[in-house]
Amino acid sequence: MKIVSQKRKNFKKIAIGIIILGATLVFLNIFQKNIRNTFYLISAPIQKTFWKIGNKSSNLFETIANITRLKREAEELKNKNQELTSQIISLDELKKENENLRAALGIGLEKDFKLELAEITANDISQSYILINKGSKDGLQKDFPVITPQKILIGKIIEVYENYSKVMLISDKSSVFDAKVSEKEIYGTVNGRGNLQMFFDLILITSDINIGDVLVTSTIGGIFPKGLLVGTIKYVQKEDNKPFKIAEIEPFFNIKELDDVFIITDFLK
Amino acid sequence: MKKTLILVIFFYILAVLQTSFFIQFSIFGIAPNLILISACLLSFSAHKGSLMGGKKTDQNIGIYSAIIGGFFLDVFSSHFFGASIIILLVINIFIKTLLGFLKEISNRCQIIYFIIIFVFSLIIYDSILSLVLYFFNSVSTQFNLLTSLTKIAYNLVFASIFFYLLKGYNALKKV
Repeated sequence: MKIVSQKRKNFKKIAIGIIILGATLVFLNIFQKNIRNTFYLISAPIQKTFWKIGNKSSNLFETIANITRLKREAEELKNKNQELTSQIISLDELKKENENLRAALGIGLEKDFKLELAEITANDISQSYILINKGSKDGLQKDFPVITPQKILIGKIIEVYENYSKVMLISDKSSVFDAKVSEKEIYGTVNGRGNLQMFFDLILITSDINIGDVLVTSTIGGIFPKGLLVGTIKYVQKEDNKPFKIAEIEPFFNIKELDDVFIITDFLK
Repeated sequence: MKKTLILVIFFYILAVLQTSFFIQFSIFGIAPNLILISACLLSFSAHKGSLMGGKKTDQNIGIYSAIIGGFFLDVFSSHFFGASIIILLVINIFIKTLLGFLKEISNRCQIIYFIIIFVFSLIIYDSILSLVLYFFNSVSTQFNLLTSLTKIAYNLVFASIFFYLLKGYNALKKV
């Protein structure tokens, strides 16, 4: 008899616990935007400090581990620098010529993007999302593209809070957009694979795509403005029985090295 | 009440560290899940004859850890509120049930038991989270053996460190 009543008591306790938990979860989901915004607001200064400390520490570890490689790279960069310097000189001349031609033809320079600068305050555990310190009060909206100062595409805003916004990286599993190989008429879609990995899909089997080719966004899907840098081709996979090739992409962005990002606020679909 | 408050502060610090500091030390895009490690360790340690000696007052620490830790995981994630709480509660029940079959864990074997339990917990966590993402966020996950093994190995390093830290703390408390 005692055991039965004890069992009933335990069952009651569990049932009450489940009801309270269920009600709490419903409440949390209704007010999730406010709750998350409050937590981000409180945590942002601490997260920013830890982000910077972590960044410096990981850079230090990486430097120690890569000293030999860095020496070789420095040598290569030195040579490349000399090459680029000579190219800049010739490009400067071309620029002047171009400007003169534009003025002569009466063509206005292409409108630059309207940009909003933001700082990264945190990163999601899945490495698919970053949190930036600008939100709806700064005029940000869902789907605004996010880029680096070097015009490298990072992702797009998926959630906007009052003071913060969540950015989905282009490497997220649900990220899909159109891209093309720079200076070639090779089109395809960039699909995220998670863990900062991406692949270039739906490339026609006849396309001449090579390792090292640079990918940029195209206008086809209308998700991102055209010409933003995505990454380079790392590996091309070809299967004879399939009409398309798939290529692995080495992203241009390095989440560990990012501090500031730009949000394109005047891009209309 | 005091213990709950300590758990809240502890898991909050872990969540902040996890999303801002340890994320910088990711390998192949994988970062350690400190909250999952701690929730598993606390569930494990609450068992009779394990690290905490299974005091009556510590019996529910696993449930509290799952709720509090899950809450902070949800705050800093993109899925709906409750997903991580429910997964951690499932893991807590799994650990409790598994340890229920063992009467007493010998001191030398504790780390081995914990490692095995943690690996299974990590697999459960990832599997259920993939299902949640598939049904609620329409995100399908492709299984990659190398990524999965890296995730297990990397998390195990931190899990072992946390295990010995808790063991050391308990030994100090006894003295």
